[in-house]
Amino acid sequence: MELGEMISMLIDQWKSYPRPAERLISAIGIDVHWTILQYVMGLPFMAFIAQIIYLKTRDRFWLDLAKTLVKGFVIVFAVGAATGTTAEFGLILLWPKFLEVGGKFIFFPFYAEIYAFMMEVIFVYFLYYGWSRVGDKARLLLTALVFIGAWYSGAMIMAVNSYMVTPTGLEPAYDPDTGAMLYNQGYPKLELAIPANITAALDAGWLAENHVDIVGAGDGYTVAKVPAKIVYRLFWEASHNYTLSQSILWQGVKEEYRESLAQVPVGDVVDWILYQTTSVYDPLLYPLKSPSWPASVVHVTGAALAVSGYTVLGAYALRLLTGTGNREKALKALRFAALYTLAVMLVQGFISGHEIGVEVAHYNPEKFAAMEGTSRQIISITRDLTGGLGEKLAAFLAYGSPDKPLPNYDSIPRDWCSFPGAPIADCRPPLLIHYAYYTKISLAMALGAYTLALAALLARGRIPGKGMLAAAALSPLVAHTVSFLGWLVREAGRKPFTVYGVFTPAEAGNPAGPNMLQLALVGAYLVAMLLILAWASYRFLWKAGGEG
Amino acid sequence: MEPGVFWLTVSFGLHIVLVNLGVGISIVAPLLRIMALRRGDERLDREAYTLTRFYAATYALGGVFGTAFTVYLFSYYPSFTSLLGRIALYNYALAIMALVAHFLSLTLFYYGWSRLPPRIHTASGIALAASALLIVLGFRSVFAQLSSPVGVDLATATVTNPLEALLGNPLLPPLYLKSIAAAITATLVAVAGWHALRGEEGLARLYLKPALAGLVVVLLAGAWYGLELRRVEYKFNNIFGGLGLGGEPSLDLSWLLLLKILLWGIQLAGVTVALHKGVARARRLLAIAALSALVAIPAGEYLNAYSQYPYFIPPSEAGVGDERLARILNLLSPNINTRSELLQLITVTSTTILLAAAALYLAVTRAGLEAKNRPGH
Repeated sequence: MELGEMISMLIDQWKSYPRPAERLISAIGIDVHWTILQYVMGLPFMAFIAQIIYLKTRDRFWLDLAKTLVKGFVIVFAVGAATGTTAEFGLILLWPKFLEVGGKFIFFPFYAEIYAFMMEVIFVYFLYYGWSRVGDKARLLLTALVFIGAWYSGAMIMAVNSYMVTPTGLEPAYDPDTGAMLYNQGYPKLELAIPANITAALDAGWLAENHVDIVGAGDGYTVAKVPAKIVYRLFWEASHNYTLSQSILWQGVKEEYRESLAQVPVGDVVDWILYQTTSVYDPLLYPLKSPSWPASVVHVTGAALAVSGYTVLGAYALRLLTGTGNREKALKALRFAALYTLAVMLVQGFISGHEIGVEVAHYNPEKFAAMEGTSRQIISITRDLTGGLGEKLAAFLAYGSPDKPLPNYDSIPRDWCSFPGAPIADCRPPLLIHYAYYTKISLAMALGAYTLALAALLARGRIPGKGMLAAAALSPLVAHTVSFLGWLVREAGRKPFTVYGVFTPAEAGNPAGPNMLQLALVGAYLVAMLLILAWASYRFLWKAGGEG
Repeated sequence: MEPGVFWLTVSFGLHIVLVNLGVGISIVAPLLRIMALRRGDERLDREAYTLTRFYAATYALGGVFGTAFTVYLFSYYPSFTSLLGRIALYNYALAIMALVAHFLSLTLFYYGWSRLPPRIHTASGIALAASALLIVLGFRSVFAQLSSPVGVDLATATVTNPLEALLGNPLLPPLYLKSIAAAITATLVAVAGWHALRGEEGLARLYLKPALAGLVVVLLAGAWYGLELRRVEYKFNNIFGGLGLGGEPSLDLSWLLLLKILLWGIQLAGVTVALHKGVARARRLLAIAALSALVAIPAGEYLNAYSQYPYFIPPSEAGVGDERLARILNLLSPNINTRSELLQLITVTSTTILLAAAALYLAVTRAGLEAKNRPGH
């Protein structure tokens, strides 16, 4: 395939998933919010470390640095709160059906997050306006409460997102030990608790024939591993206001129940099953039991800490390059930022990045196959540009052995989740993420190597040259790009689903939502606002700092 | 009381007081700044800055309670939230786009004091006021739609006429006028009372005449809104029925209306006496008027919201007999997953701790009112 054809195929595949315009506008809105949020998570932590050094050394420089960092995140926090509100209302307006399902069954992380947000708001402003009114230790405590609030907030939002990526009770469709694809056995499956009266109405033979495995029972319910294909179909039927007599379940309903159940809405059946499931798992903690949550929280928090570190690094490098401000102080701050960022990058690369990769390989084999580009339809970096070495390395990192096979993208049935009438042409994630993933990894490795070199130079008391400083000044942009690409891979890699194996943007969206023009205008508006924010930060942080 | 209703009430009450002050300051502070620049009046400039600083220090607090309200709504009433997202698409879109502009203009107006050229700074102040007016328009149009929806089809949860749904509700003009007038007036009376308490008679006097005018507008707009409400029988009866002005109320809230009128009267008395006898002689009365202004805000909002209790949209206005829709619109049918004692324990504990922290913050920092010098001074 020629390059042009390949690019066209990749874009067409991405566009083929439902509601591309709404997905794009949501991506812009959420990414604008995330761009800012990273500073709210990272800068207070850096200010906290600077204050600890101040308490140990009593060197005024560290307190001044902490204050500068606090000032930085107070400005962006205000806009972060605004963009967060935009993202929140964006969910309500563009994805109301997702919110309805989320509100019923995975509401608790959102609910708990509100207290994290309150913590942030109260303590961010307490810290800023009370800076000179409280003692050193109280200030340190306030700073800790600010970053704990931000991290707690991030952890709760990631619980929802992790559930969307890896729903609680998910069993994947790939066995890396044998290389077998398990789609013909009904995988991926979700473990659900089905009210006993529903299972009683269904024929056991039909359940077995459709790969629904009954694996246990409790008081008034049956535990079953249900193929995602059936779960998705039921959600689709619910969104189309089907009754049981129109449903796929109808084939399995026993004769004696048919008359009484024919007009029952599928939506009610779905609700009963999910209420029973959340009740068995725990109505509050159900989404927090998503297997990918712990690694995701650490990795995303690490990304925020890294972006903040590179931004501070870049700002002081720029001061040194342009000769504005106090050179000695700028150099000291640069050294601090370099060492801090190096530490974060080591954790990101070797611990959390690895863990999240292992989770993806296990629970989301389709995404893993797309990320590693195991398709013959594209030029694969993993396979074609490394002579196969990349595949062995990926297998070793993911499965602990270079000899285990990676899931073959082309062997995944295009229609594994589909059925007549479904809005999905291709059930596999977009191959575009292969390039996004490798661009991300390459940039992250380059950043890590550069940071190591800079930190080594500064640790030896040497002053970096112009080239090194220019690279440092560019590093925030690169770090933001890495962070953005990470999210792109995570979110696009879940497509065609909104919640993996459960429902897609077609069912989650607003049936009478805005048109393309309206969405484009909103997108342009958000970008314009972000540019004004960038200008305000330059005017009030950079220029004011330089003048001071 | 349903826990969901209780937490919605608490978060809305806290949110709406701070928001009304925010809207008032967003309009008053830029006006003061323009006057200060024109007259070269340093005192007015300092006053405008102090108000803006107070707003900057507290607006996120108001915002967070608004977010809490939305999260409670979505958690306790997910199906209604979904319905609302679909029928109030354009109303919310207007409000949130204005909200983003508002935050940015506040950032520019506050941090840009004495740093930005006067023209640009004034423009940011005008943007602050304009965005505040648009936010109120967006949210008030949602309230009008919840009282008596137009331009939407509830059964299919679709907007049939976007313009009508956004601006065509007959309840919107009086509700909007009343809301804006009430927010500005409450702010003027509260600030006048605060200055009176601090013995700053000159500054207190500055607000008295506009406050008096505002109180008159509030009364007229309130009467207009009351007259328009006759078209929503359920609400009208609950508000006025107890006074013999309508049919039999389902939930008699006429006492809340009387309380609101009483609070308005106290404000009028405080402002009038201060105007005639001087701020120094009316200091206490003006302080009580300021407190009344702050209490009148949630009183009015609760009166409007609860007059359709226990429905999000009065059944007569929803106009459908669909059992599922009736359940969605009923505040007494919350999400059953929220019926957890642990959830209530978490909510009570977290809210108490955080409100205590907020009170400590306001006490220690004095909500930014102990103004530092303005940037550049």
